[in-house]
Amino acid sequence: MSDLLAQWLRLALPLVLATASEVVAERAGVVNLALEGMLLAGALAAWLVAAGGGAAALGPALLVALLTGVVLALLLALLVIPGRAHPLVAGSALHFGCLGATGLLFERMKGSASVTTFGELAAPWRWLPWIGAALLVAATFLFLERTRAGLRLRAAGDHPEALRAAGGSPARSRLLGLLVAGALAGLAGASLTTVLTGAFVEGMSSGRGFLALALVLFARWRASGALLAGLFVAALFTLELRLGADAAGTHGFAVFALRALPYVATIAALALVRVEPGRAPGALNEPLD
Amino acid sequence: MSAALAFRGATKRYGGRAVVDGVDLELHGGEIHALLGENGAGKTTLARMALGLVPPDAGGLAIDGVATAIPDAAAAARLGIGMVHQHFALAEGLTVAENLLLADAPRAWRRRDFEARAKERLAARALDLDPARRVGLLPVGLRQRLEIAKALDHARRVLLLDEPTAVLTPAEGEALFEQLRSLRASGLAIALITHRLDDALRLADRVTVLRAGRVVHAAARARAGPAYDAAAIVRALFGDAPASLPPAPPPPRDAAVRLVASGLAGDRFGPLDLELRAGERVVITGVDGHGQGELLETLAGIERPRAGGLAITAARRAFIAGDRRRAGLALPLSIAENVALARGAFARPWFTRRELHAVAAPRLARFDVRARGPAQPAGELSGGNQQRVVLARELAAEPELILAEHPTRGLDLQASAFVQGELLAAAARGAALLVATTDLDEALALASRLLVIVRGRLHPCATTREAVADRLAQEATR
Amino acid sequence: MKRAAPWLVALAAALLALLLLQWQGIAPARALPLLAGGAFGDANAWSATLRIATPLLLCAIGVTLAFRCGLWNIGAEGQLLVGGVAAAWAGHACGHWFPALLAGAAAGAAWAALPALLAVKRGVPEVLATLMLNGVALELLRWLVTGPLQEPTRQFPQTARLPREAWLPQLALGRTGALHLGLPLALLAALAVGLFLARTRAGLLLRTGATAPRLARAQGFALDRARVVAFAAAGALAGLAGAVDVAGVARAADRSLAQGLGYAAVAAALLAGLRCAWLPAAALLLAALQSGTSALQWAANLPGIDRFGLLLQGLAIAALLVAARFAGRSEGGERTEGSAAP
Repeated sequence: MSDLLAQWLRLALPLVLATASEVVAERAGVVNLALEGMLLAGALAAWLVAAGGGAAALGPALLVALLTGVVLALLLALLVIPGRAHPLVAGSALHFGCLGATGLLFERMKGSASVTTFGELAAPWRWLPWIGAALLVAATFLFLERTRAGLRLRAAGDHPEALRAAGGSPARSRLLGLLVAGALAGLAGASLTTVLTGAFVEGMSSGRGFLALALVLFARWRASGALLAGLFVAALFTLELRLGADAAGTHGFAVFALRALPYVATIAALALVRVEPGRAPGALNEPLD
Repeated sequence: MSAALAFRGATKRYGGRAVVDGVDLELHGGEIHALLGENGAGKTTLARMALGLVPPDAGGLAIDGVATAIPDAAAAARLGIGMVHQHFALAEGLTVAENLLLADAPRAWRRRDFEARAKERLAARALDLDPARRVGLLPVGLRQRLEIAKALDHARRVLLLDEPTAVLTPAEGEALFEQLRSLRASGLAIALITHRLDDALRLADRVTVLRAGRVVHAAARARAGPAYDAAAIVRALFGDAPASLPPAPPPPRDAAVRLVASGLAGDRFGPLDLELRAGERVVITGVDGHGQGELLETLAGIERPRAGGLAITAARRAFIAGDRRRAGLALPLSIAENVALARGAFARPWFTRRELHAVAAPRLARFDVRARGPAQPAGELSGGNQQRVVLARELAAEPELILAEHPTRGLDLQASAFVQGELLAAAARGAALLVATTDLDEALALASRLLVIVRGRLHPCATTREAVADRLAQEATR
Repeated sequence: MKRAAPWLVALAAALLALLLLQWQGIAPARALPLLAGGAFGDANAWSATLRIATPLLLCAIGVTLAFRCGLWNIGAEGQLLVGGVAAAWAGHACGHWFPALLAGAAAGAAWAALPALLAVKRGVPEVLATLMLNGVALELLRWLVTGPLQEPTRQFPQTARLPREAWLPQLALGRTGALHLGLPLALLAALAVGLFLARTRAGLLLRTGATAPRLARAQGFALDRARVVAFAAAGALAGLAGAVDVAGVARAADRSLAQGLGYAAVAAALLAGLRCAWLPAAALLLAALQSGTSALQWAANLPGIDRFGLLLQGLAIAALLVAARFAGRSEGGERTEGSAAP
């Protein structure tokens, strides 16, 4: 039972962080289609630093992954804000770039060294990722809801004119939002290699980034919602893994159904639950003058 | 006592045209001053000058009698000038408290402190709002009160309101007037920018009428008798210039009926009855915002009516939309393609490039569209030319019913005359014409039958300037 | 200066690419001939390039069609997958390639019609719906090729191999025989869709609906219904792409189907500026990039260099975006806003 719980939490970690990342980005007014790519980049960066370095390398690995996310987010911000590119198109471009770059780098730097995952550490260090994630989600909430910068960020994504009239700069707020989102995305990616598995596999984000894009709607663009949505979907994944492990071929359809369930559930929910007008950030994907 | 804010010979030109032309205007503390004028009269530009958003090309402003330049929004705020915009600067996804404190929130806070601070501000303005409520859930009237509260934070001297009653119900409007009266009592100079005559006459201590960027009439509330000479104000609003087009022939008496509306009602108009015959030229005029737009869109079939019946027997119809950029043209498409959108432009569902050219070129030429070529994207044309493209599409097939919403808005005199000429010619050829316009000259030039629209109801009116002015003044002072 | 800016940016992107190559240990002077040779050098090279280009072009046409109507279709990947599987099944069951192609197109159309209906009727953003269905399609493929549709010996995770009659007619070209009926079909489709958009009333009205839906409806056009049909057609093209790859080259559907081709189609469409006339060139370019870098990998013994193509793809779109900014337009064709939901 307890390793069911452990598995659930392991699977939840990257989802929660990725969803939180997208919450911040969309609150600032930008849909980050490159989230998937950022996850991969963060995962690779963490792996590159931590491989063969033992437990001591984990800290730097996380830091580098965070910075990687920030740099990528900066690129996106450059395309979208001064470049005035449509966020979905710019996100696509960045996504391809990340896919290519991570594949390239990985092939060049492939080695047999493996990463010491957090799970292999002694307590209390082994709980660090979850404590850290919980703190990050709480920090995201506090940032968005209890600081001036967060307030302005939300105003920028909802009604940039109002922010301007109040003396703020929507462009600056959007930039900040993207950078924070990038940091969270980088960490989410790092959790893939330092918590889930000890290795990097190409394409290991497996659509989690895209899934997070949809989860944001259920999270109602709130950090607390990101936590709940991530935990819920991770539970589905856990179930699916369990069933898949038990049954090799005979339950093929059941495995498929469970694997497809998150996607289908997302669409069904999107179709059945009308997102109230005014819930989504009002100025999502709109260019700033 | 010198005025809190005065415009002295203020002038602003855009591309050779004077949008504000030598305007002298004074806003005194403890007074509500109404700036009346139709769209494009220059009222908003004047307001933007006061807010430091637009520098005057000539003339200037004076604060308390001293000539002062207002270079930017911060300067205006420092001088105590604030504005309540027509389209509120409120973030609907944020709460009341968050919107209120957006301009000067602390670096970080606890929820309790934040709400307490907001409550303080709300109490100071006697606003009974829940600070934790999302602005998007508030009714419009309350949102406006919030917007006013925000503006009052730095409007110590002058408060400008741009079309404040446009989105309010009558009851909300009353509440607003109450608030404005008490603000006036506190010594604030209030400028009410509006095109609604009734609001101005009821509330204002002074009325200034603007037309084409100039002050054409100024009056102060009389102490005894009727507050204002309403008819004179209306005449000033709509102008004295005689119609420049020759009188059009009257339509045949027993022509075919093209449109019948009975008990038709929508969100902002009706119930009303209307009948149009071939060759008739019916013009609906009056002050903007009384339901003309919605009525026309319902007649055109774009909006569904809430009640009543509509019967149209016309082989081809034309609709010249008021919102050219969103319902009149597809801006990224070429002008030839825009013209070719008309039903029946082509015999078959497909066409060659030559056929497109063959269909578009003569229509574009007939309506004298000035462009680089038929392949130019419609979005690149000037307003006047864009309207010509719209006409080229709508009128080319000799429609039997033409519905038009301010067909010459934003056009210069030459283009306007052209459009009006085309509409008259179409009617002479037997089309039934229904035009909604706020331009009284245009209304008189086009109409064989005139209707005045007030609060969504139609009232027949004689086709003379005085009759319209009287009718509007009557309704305004009711 | 404004006119030159796009070219300058493209030049800068190309220089950056060459620098990256240099960093990877390949001198540009050596790289370019290798790239070109890998893409076009001999019959095998052409075959490898066409194998990617043909389905890529078909998908890209569908993506372009959807984008020009104002709909964000990111679902070509999933539509391709279901199309390929359907073709593999139908080709085997009916023993001929024609039903295979038909089944592929139908499956793709259905896979696209669903998000389109959801967008129009329930306001579900089609970006999300198509992305989600991509995920479902992938899982579906995985299940089917290891389950109900697996080949008889149950040894390999793929569908039963297509009989000879179900192979697409083809001309011999190199080892993989990628010069098949799919290519003329794709070129024809590009022409047809291009003509449809530019030279039919329906196409005109659909394009109008992208920025001025009220205007389109005012002309008596059933815009919503037309949009669903257009989206389904886009899906059919992507499904056909999958079918063409299965019936033309792979002869069976397995987990290596698609491999990001659907997303690359989005890149191709954007690179072509959403103009059907440029699509074949854009698809060929991207395909050449792919096969060329694969060959580069072989020749220069640099593992992973084939990912370079993806990187270049991203660079190319970014360059295009920056260039469009300088030229004063907004890229993304006729759309400047989000989803189809009005």
